Amino acid sequence: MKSLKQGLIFVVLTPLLCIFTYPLIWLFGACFKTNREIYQPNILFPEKWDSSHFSTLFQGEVIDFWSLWGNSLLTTLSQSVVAVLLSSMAAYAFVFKDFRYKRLLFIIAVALILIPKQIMIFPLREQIFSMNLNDNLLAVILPGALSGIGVLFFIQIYRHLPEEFIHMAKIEGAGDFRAYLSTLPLIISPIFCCFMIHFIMAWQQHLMPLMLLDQNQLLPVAMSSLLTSSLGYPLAVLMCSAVMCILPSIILFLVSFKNFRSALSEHVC
Amino acid sequence: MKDSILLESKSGLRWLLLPFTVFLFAFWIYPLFQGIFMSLSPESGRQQSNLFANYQRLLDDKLFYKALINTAKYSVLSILIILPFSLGLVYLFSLLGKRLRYFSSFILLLPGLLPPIVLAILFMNVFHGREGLLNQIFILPFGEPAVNWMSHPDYILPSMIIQSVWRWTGFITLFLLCGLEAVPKSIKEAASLEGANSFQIFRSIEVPAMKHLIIFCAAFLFIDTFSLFAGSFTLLGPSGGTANAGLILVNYAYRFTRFQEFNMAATVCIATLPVLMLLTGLLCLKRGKR
Repeated sequence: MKSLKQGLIFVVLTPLLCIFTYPLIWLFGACFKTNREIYQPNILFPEKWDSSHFSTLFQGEVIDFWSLWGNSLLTTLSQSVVAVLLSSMAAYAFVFKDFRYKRLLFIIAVALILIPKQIMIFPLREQIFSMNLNDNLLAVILPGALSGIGVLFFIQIYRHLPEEFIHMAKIEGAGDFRAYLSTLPLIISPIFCCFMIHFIMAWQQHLMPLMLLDQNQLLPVAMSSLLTSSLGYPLAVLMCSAVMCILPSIILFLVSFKNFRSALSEHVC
Repeated sequence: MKDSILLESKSGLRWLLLPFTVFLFAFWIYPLFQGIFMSLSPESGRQQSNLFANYQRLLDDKLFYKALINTAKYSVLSILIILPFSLGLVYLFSLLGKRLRYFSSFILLLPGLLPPIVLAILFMNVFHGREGLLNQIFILPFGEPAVNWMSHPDYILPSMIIQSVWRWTGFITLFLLCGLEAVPKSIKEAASLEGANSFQIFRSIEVPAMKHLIIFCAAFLFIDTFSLFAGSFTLLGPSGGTANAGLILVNYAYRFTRFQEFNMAATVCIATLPVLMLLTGLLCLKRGKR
């Protein structure tokens, strides 16, 4: 009975996993294909593996790849780090301190989640332009560092942290800021979890860079203009840059999947 | 409630709260008011008969309703497909061994990591024309005529929904799986001693225990699908597809920027805010009532 059940599960699950991974494997194969092969998506791997497309991409003949990739990485990394810092500091204050307007500030922070950044983009654009930040990477980094979900996440984490620990730090003579810093090593796994979620979400941004930056500053936008401008380049180069574009998220996720799971099921759910 | 020792100093508090508050005001509250102001003022170089002329123009525009309906359809259908699908998957996973369970949930999650532009590149091959994967595998072998997913108005929204299901199912499944593990083992053991089988346990113990998490996932999906931009933008371009069948709100707002009508774009955003806040607010309120 048990083995029958297991067999049934495999019958359901295997095709499903294939459907979910097929496009990814196809994408990898497409890096080495000719244009004609790419237009026939049921061919998974090319007849002849041609790896010259990667070097075309890396030499910057089609797009200035390394600077785009570096810019994207820099933008995403810095906004995730700042977001984690801001949210954890605010959450510490929300959980362990009492102050005037605490409720009001909390409600606003929650409303931050309800109104996604994409909706606010047009007013935000006016403001960025008036601050003269357009075409500057800060235009994406600064607004991106504001995370309502981060604050709620860390509030949840800090609620589970024993209050005695803060007492101890206080008795030792630490100020609030020192006490906050001393909590960080205790919650290192949730910090990394939050960082990862923010990184993945920020890496996927498209509208913000499109509206606020020049089209040759971040990788996704540059790729989409490459996609629409049918210049005479081999399509496989676009596929190579797509692979390079998903690489950081996938590596980060591979490294921290275990930590992510345990942080979620222990602290949040 | 809190001990006095925690309330003592105020100076540290300032440094903890100041950065967040500054960012909040600079990049959220101020733009919000700026948006309201923009929605009430005419485009530069034009006259305006009354204060709400932009809103009037919006309400007279048939396309606005089309975008609203498309967005609602897209959002609701995505949620209605993804949530039961993920719940089913979670049930299947719960029967698997630990190692296999995490392996499969990791694989399922990979699509969630892709930036929209990569999704668009991939899905061009899935949906595009006769050679597209969907046609090749699911339609043509059954003797049906090939479906033109990307340009037939009846199929644009379904292909967008397929994309969103493919993309988000993994994330939602992982969230629910983590929630499942947080359900205390003792309750499950008690139920199985009483003779409940694994599906009964799942349906009447684990799902109710994860209720809040499920609502959170619904809210998350709702916000994401509602504000989806890049998915349809990269798939269809700013036009919204044939007969605007794939036009959704953010795209609709973006169209105005091509004619430099930024105030109209802001009007669209401000006009949709109450709807968005009301719906997600309702979901979250339900969650808050523990």
